[in-house]
Amino acid sequence: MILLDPQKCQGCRMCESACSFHHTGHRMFNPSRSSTRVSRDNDTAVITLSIDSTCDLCEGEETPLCVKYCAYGARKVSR
Amino acid sequence: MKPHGYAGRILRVDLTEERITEEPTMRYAERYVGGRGVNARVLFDELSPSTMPLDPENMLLFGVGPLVGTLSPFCSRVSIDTKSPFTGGVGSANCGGHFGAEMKYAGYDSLVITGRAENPVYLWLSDGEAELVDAGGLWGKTTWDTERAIRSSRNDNEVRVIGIGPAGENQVKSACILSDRAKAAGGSGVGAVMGSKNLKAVAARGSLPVTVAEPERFIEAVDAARKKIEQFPKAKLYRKDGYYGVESVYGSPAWEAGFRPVRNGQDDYWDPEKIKRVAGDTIKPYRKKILACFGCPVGCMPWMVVPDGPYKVEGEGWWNNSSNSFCTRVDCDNPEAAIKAHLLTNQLGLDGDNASVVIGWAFECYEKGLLTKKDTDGLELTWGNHDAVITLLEKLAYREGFGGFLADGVKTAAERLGGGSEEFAVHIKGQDSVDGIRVSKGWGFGVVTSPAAGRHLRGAIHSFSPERFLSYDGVPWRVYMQEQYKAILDMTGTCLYNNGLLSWETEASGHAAHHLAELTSSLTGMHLDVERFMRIGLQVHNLEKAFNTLHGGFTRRDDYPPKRYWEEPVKSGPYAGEHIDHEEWERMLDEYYGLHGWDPGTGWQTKETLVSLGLTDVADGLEAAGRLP
Repeated sequence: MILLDPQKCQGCRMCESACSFHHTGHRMFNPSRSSTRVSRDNDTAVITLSIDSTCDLCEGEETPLCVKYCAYGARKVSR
Repeated sequence: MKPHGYAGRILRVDLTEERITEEPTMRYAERYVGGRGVNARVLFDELSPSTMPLDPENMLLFGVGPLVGTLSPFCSRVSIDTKSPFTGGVGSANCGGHFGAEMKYAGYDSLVITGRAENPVYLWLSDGEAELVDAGGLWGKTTWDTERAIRSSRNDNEVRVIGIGPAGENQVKSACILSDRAKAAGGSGVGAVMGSKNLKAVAARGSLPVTVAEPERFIEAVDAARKKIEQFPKAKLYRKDGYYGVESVYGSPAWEAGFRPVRNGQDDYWDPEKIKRVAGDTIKPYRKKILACFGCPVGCMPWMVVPDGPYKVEGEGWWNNSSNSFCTRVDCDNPEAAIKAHLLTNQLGLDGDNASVVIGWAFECYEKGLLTKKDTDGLELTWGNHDAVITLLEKLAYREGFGGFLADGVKTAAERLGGGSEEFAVHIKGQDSVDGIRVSKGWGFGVVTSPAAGRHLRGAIHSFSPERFLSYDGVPWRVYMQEQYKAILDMTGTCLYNNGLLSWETEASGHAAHHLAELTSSLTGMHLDVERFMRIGLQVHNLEKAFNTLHGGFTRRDDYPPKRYWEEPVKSGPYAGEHIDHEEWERMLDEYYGLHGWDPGTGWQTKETLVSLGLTDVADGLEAAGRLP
């Protein structure tokens, strides 16, 4: 599974783009096709991260793309 | 078929007629890529020189480049272009945040807005549908409350909002347009134009895809750019401390090299004891977190908290310029008041850079006895009076009392007051200008010659070694190249800031033109090598220059620094005595016009140059108006 650390996340949503790239067979970007969500409360700056049941741990990829493209160390693969 | 890398559609909204139409993005994007490029072309083609900036007929364009909404790093920017209420020439500003990507997912690359709504409205964009929604209940609200209200009414916290606060509603010239409550498209009075249209906001939510022409090549380009970014030592520091936290530590060139004019530009060097109170490292306790715009692997903008006291406030925003606008310019060294001032401008929808210029001027008028408490609604505009700064920001946004006197910018205010106050009214082509330009010559030359007048986001270049930034040598060529490179950033939707040195010369950042050419080509399927891309940048710059000649009537005369910076040297600090040499400036102008192929006498473009750039129709337009040399 993917371990999430919302404290480290700075809210750029590259994980969403990367995830949707995987789910669309490397053809497109669209966060609505993403299994993961980054949500920021604009009153408090608190960031919430989630992953839904459509995550397949990036089957077929070398590493899960959300982990690969996170620049903030907010995601890790748990083994 | 939808073109790769684009939403595919430009939305046109006539607010007067409540008419909404669409056209294909590629009608313009094949030649001008997107964002500012497309906006510049549409503006030049369609706006009549007889239209005044706050007339309903003025156009307000929002453009998002192809790289926005993809994995391409730093790509979140929205370019907002119009006819500027400050100058009557081209108005251009851009911002990051999350709105740009959402606008694209909602189905639109550009919005072309004309007319004036009878009553306040906001524009709602969602999955290829566009609708004007009554905004009577939003009018008067701050940008923060506007976002809260729209999200609440849509019952969706992921709706992204870009819009104006009270300052824009009241058509204050220093009004900006903000996305995500914090990311300001400031300068050029874009907020005032939006207010004049009775358009409170644009809100977007979308789930439409951005497809990729050559996915494996694109991902390789993304990885190459990311690798380059990680080789940039400051990347880690920016993530941790934000841009200001890194670049404005005590003793850095940011403080010493004259970027922050003190007391309305009487000097460009500030008392070290005061610097220490607001420097990047000392402001750290107020910084709770660093936040990133869409697709940014670095992050720069802090979430600031003043936990208690008279300036209790919390929100996103604090930038290098804030320590100019709310500190040096008015000689205030109270960090909590300055943070409050910055976050207040975000709420009111004021651009801090622009608002602080006219406020700094008013303080100097007070110092010189040209204004008294009778004129200022009882405010004591003495240097360092941060309470007065905060009160004036409120008055300015609402055009209340003395705020109304200042609300049309420093040039107008000085013309109204007279008494010699014009001598220290710092504006370029009528645009209030915040930049310190006497020490770093490349910065100064870029700021002064920018078509989006008086601003550092065109050709301004800077390096951190004094031998280089004090020198006039090579400046015109470096500015000329930076103009083209900056146009590439603005056409694709890429952020300038996190390339660290603010220059096309920076290799370390992943932003060098060849990365952007490869990213854009593989995403869209267009064939854009560096040479072609820079040439398009040059075309866009020339479109804006021609717009200025036609609409603003500018000539060589308008490419000189404000009187204060032309005549007064820096007074103190390591660069005391540094000034703008008049002969060197003339020489730089001659060289710069020569590089562009513009006429040195008038500063105008020549027919030959425009034809060689493939802009024959632009040359024809200028010729018909008698504006060719």
